[in-house]
Amino acid sequence: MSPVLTPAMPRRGPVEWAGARWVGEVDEAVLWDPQLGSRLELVDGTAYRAARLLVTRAGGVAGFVDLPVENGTVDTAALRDAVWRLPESGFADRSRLLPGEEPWITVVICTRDRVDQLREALDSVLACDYPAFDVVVVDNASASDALTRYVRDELRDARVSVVAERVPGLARARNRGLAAAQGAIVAFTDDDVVVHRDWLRRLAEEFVAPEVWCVSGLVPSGELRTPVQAYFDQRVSWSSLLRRREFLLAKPPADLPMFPFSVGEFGTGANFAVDRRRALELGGFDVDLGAGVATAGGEDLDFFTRVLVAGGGLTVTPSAIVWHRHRTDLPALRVQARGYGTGLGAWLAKLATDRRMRGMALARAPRALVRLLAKGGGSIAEDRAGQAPLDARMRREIRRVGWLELRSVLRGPVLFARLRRTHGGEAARLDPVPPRERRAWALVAVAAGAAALLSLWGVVPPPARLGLLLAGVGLGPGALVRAWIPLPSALTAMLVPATGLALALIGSSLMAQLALWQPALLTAILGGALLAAGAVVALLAQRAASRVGARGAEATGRAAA
Amino acid sequence: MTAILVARESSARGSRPMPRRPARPPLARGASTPRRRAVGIELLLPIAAFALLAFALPAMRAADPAEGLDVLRGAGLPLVPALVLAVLGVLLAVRLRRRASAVVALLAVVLVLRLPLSAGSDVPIYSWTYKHLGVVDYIAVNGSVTHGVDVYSGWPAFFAAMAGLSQVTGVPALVIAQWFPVAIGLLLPVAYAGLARAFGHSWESTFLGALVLTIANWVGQDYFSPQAVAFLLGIAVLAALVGARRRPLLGVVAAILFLAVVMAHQLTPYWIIGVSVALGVFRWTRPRGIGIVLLIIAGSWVLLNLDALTGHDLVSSPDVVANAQSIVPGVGSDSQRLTQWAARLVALALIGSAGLAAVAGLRDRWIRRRTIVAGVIAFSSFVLLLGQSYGGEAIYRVYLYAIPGCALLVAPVLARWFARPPAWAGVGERIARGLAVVATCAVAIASLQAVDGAWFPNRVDPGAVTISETALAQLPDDARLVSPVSAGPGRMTGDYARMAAHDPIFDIGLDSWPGWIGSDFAGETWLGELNGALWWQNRPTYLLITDQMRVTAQYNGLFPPGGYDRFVAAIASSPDWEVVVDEGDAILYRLIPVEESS
Repeated sequence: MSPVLTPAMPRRGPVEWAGARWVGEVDEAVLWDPQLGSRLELVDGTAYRAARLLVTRAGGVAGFVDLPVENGTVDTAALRDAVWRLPESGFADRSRLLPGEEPWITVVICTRDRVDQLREALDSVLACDYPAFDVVVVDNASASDALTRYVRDELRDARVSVVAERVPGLARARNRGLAAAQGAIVAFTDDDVVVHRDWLRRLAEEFVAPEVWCVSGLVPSGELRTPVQAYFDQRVSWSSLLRRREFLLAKPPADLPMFPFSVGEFGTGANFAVDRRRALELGGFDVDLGAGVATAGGEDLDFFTRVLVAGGGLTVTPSAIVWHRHRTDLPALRVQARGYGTGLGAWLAKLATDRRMRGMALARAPRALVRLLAKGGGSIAEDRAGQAPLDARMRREIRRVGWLELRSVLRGPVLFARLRRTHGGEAARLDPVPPRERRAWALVAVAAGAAALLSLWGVVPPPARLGLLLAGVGLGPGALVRAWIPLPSALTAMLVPATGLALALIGSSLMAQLALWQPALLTAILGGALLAAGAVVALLAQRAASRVGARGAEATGRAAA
Repeated sequence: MTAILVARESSARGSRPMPRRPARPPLARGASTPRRRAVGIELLLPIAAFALLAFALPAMRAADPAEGLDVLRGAGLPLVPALVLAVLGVLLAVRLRRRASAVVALLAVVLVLRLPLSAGSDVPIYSWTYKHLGVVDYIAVNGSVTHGVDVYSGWPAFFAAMAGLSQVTGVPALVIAQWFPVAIGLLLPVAYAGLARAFGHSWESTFLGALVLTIANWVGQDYFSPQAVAFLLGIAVLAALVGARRRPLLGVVAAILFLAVVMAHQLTPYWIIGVSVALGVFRWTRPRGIGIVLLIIAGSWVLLNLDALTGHDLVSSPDVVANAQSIVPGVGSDSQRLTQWAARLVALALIGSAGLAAVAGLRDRWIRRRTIVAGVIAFSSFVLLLGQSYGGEAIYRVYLYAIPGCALLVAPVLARWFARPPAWAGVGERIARGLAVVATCAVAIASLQAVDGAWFPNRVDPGAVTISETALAQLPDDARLVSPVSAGPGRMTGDYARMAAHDPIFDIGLDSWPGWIGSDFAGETWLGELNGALWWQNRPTYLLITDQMRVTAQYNGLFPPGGYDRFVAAIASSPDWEVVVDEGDAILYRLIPVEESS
């Protein structure tokens, strides 16, 4: 029995470029098996002359190795030798989740009219080795109902649901997914990816540390079939973040002088997860950034920076792997480069308008400019494994793309300002308390109002009436406040009863001082007000919550028709 | 499909082969955490503490001060191991990262320290609880505040709320007062947790800070009082102000909470204002000028209640040293001195460790601003000593207000010590860690002594409660109700206002008379002088003598040995005094007027 290596992603299209590389993964432990043959076969590898292998080690990532390919196979000894040369610091000790301790994760995939790609991504997510997750697919203004049809009629997996976001924009779609998510952790990925089996587990492990609000992972190129993909692979840094790092504003890393504005060091939107509550507190994603709107990018960078500036921890863990399929042709690359440029420019403009971040950003601006200029005029680094050089035309085109990206950076602030103006100068933000949560708190207020009223009933024994009144006053007013202000659990546990206590003190004091002593009447008024206000808020929240579901149902209806 | 090394047979597209699980590779270094048990020893510790507490409470209820003034050496002895076990339970739960266990253990710490104050006595502990019950009763009966009697009329929020609570639910205020210390004791760590989390502390730090707060709070201000509620809400205001950095709407919530504090208590708002101004200066709240808003709220309330302040100075004395002195009459007993030293040890440990943590924090530029803000919360209250002695209580309030800030400073250091010890810790570090655990337990025991050391002097006699209630209801307006020692239920019903309107010090203790303390009551002349002084005012005069007063006199060393008993015996045998009510643990005498005796 001779083992084989399977590709990271199924090939889409012919291999016509001499420098194309087969891409896959190998676990280092297997290489020490003495029974292993002298050559390892690469599935679908006959068309390639070189291969790139991501080497995993004890669940972590050790690094990449490049090897020549002959007849669709690689030399086992050469592979062992290359792996042996990899640095030992490619992974770090990490905390591990014990069975039953895994937090629930909701995977959010935002997509638009790309059912074929989504199918591949969804398959890989559903195959994850993780016991507690669901998937929310956000249909972001698709032209057809193919997506809904696929998920509801073809896939029929109880773990997958579809919600619709009619207004185009990746940030808006992500916010919709965030609001619809059930999990304490929400993992985001794209529709043009294949995730690793351990992706969710590796992400979840990082959230064991309480200060971690956000975790991002490695996004290696899953296909290096065309020169454009190779260029892209070299250009983006998030495909090669092989060192696990923990970022915290209070502990700026010495090697990142631009921290916390270190573009490319925090990962990318195709592979990250957030603490849902923290993300909601931050206001979600800025809808004036990201694909689908004029600025066309920057929403992930903006979010990462806001996490750090707000004092949250951001961990980059290469062990959480999402293979990404880069654009294959020049026109698509141009679109993407333009988007990256405008997104970066828009994000910089946002920094300049933010009072808190402006000072920090200005201090780092000179170095940022130098780095930006150095990056312009894209070039491909020397190849490690004898990759065929690009022809002159391709080099020229790629250089043009580089300058296009640079020019787009300058356009970003203009586009951003236009979008901001349409929103009255303020970023349209995520509804701070999700409708379902708001409804829950409103129902608490209703119950508290009923308890307060019940405490007036003389039939109930005094100790029970005391309990009812304390519950009514202690929970009711605070619950209504909590329905509008998202708060962490510890602050909620304190401020909810404190609000009720304060109102009781104020109301009682006024009654006594104005000689209008009617505590039973005040209790009745409070109970009635809580019942009425709670019911109204609950109804409004119910309507808001059902709007999300209605869009999904509408899409289903279209599909059925 | 993700690339994995698989057997050829299972590589067909569509199937999802399980990856071959290799044995741990030779280069593997990942060390997994030990498997966690659902119930570990850390949960057994608080359970054992609960058992010891349940064993101690009935014994404390039946305890007799004749067996020894220090309850912790007698019936309350099981509380000592109970507290140590509970504290160890918190530390261990934090170390093992088991939040549920940490909650249970912290609950045990709170209950060991606070439950005896409620469940260890038949009636509410602390004599000073009862004057607040009187105000509550007055509002409940009359539907308004007292005017011109005392300062409470200007700050009636707490009393009115308790009156309303009692009236609406039918639960007597006496019962509410009895369980009040436990309720406040449970709520304070919750309030602190909100503040610590708003401050950005990890949950380990938060739990350890709540432990510090609970242990350090021996002040005894959590009885049925406005300051207990004001302190609780004060922490909530600070948490809302810090939280307003991210949610400016919380500034509005903070202002509402602050208004309640202003309406409830005189001193607490100024501590909060000071801290809120500092939070604004250091950009730790939004809007930064919210301190001014709070100042306007507090100032407006003072202006509205200027009449209630007549006779009370806003600034009593600029002498900081004098203001920091506490007023404890008498030469003291060994038990009292032990309790005082225990309280000083806890205070010193808290302030000292907070100071060291602050110095260390100031040297680290990444936590410097955070340290400064916590330092302001911790030490700003000492400014209050510049203006007020607060009837000899200022130093206690200052210390009380300092506790949350000190906990904020100390907790992260403790968390580094206890929560995540590095596996490579050397022998020296392990010894130091062990010493830190021992020191924490020692401070906890000292705190228990500070809280319960004066258990017997603070325990009010049920008979005295009955007598006081009857006396206040039946005595004429101009009557005087004196006692040899200022201890007992005193002004426990709203009738006090009727008598206080006639004479604000109608119930003054004889120990407040100049030259009275230290008297040995030997001979017979003193009784004639006492009766003469009381007859001279020509008012109905009553004398209440209780068992609690004997213990208080003994504990505080008010009189030489045997003095108090000679006083009681002389009154009992004097033909000028007649017994009106005898409840066993309390006796009410009436001074027979001159015209009747003659």
